[in-house]
Amino acid sequence: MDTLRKYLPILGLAAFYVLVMALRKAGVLTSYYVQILMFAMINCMVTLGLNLINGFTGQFSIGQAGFVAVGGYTSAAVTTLLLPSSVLVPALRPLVFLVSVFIGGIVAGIFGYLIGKPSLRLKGDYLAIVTLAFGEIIRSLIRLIPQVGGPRGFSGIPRYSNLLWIVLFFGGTIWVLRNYIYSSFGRACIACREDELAAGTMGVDTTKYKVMAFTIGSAIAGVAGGLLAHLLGYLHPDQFNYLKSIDFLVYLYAGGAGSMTGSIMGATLLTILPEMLRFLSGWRLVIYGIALVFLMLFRPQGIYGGKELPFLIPKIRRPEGYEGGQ
Amino acid sequence: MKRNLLLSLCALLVVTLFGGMAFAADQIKIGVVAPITGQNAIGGQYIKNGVELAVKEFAPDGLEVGGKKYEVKVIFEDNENKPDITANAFRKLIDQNEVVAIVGPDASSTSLAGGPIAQTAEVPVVTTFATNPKVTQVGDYIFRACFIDPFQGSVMAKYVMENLKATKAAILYNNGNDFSKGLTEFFKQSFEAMGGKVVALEAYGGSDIRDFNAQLNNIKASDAEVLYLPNAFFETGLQMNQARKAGITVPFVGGDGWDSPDLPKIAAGAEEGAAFTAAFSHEAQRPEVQAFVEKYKENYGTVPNSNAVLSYEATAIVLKGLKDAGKVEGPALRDAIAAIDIDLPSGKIKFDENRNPQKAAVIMQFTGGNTTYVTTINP
Repeated sequence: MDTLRKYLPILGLAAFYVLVMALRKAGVLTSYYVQILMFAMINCMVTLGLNLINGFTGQFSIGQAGFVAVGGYTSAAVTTLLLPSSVLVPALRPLVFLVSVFIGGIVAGIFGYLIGKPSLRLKGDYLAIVTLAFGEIIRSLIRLIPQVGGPRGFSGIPRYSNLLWIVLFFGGTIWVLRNYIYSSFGRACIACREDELAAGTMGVDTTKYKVMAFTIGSAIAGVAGGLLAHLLGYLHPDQFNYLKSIDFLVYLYAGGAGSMTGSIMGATLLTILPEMLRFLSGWRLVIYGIALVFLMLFRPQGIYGGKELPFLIPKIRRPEGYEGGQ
Repeated sequence: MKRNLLLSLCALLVVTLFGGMAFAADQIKIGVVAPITGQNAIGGQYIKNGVELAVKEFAPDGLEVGGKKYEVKVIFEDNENKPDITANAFRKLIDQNEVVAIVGPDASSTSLAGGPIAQTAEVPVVTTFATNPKVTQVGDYIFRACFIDPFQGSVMAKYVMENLKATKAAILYNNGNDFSKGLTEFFKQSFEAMGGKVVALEAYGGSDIRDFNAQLNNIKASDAEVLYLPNAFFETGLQMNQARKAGITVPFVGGDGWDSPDLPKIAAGAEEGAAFTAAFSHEAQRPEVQAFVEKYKENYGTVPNSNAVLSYEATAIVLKGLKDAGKVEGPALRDAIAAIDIDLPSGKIKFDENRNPQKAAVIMQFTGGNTTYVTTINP
């Protein structure tokens, strides 16, 4: 039972992949639906990263799109400028892609660290202001770099991303975050969220854990950016404006902050919904907005606020003879 | 309550998933991708009108292709003027609706995101207003109905040099906008190649800037004889107004981003006499232009702008291409469009080897709050 529980998410994702591929082959799902699913999973990853910062550690970052941009542009620069697909034998391309996505994540993580280190020492809304500014600075910086297209956008990125890659990275994100949140590190983050003063009194180095959560959240956004760049084949700086960051915040709070299930539900539902409402043409985004208003009216804590699907919670190992409470 | 809400959401998903799958035979489906919501929604309305008018005109009761009569069905999809949503709209049109060609989108950034998808699927695309040269370099299935940035920049340089007899120009441009930056580059290049000099080159960082006084003061201090403002109409309106208040008296010139009836409202009189390059003028004395304007007015009650005429022309190119191809399929249609020779409101259109049209540009001028036609400049 325990092993089943441990491997259920992996089995579930594998089953999901096989099912989608089978439906695709049978002609039920066209590549349009598969593409929406891929966008949904990428949005899930960014939202999960944001959830670690906003939901679990209780900070308020509103520049997540900036980290997606950093990761996307970095990994696209690796596969387009450093090692273009034309100089690679086909067998090497997946490897280069994999490495580039990780580099994108690492660079975004470094940016996250550099932003988080000075601003997370302070309490209050400073992080929100700094991250908002960061997102805009990144966008303006990218416009000034002609090698990645400047304001004209970065075109000609090889389209390496496919469903398999995205499912793998999506699964990896869930795995990393699940293990982090339910480790002592994650507990420390949650303690910071609940009461920073009390956490500090109990010996939790609050700045360290806040910076750590922020760095990891940013790195995940960077990885998602790398996948997005190689899915779209094109990046434009204005794609990552503050409105995009707001989108991720909406996914997070509609799904429920502080719940991984919530992030996944919120991002998936709200990515798919506007596409499914296409038959309404001009009224599409009106209905989308109304749906959000109703969601917040009836579930202000978000769809899965404060709850978690059981298989996303690892079993807690207790020492032999333990009889205490939770 | 919450269970009901979730259930109804799921039901909605299922219904819409399988809802749009029925299709009829003997139909030619043409997809149109345009911003129907969001910042550029006004442009989207003009595009919609232009496309509808072209279908009414060139296929009034169906289109005969290879001896068989087809019903022409146009499917509009919103792209919110965003690259990722455009990719979804392209995929939907190609996979779900199985369109034979796509008209639009109207911006370079969105066309570059959608283009590769259509190229792989071998579905010809005629974008309406994507002026970045890279757009058609995506592949041989991507065409455009408008002229490209270099052309517009050099036309204005030529006009400034020959008609305004000015040799010193100042430029104020938006370095956060590819269109503005492109026009600036090519204006400067052509102007200097013709012996002119750009004496002040000032930039600002995005379309949300409202105060241009710092840049305008630098321009005032230079001895420029003309001020080039290759920016969107909204920003340009403010810039003109602030420039006149700052005491800049030289004439303004600009690009087709100015082509909006709202510019005079924002500039509040400062736009008087300003000239810009445009794809089209409804006042040009060509019979094709007058016929088009009449038809447009009759149907929609307003005069058409560049968005309307370019989407009209893009649709006309697709319909004529289908007729020439004699079959309803991507590759044949592509070849037919590449070889097209058609007379349209903004001039005779032929595609060069990079799938850019060879067509004339017009110079327009603001007088008394309206735009008037000045002259036509040929490539």
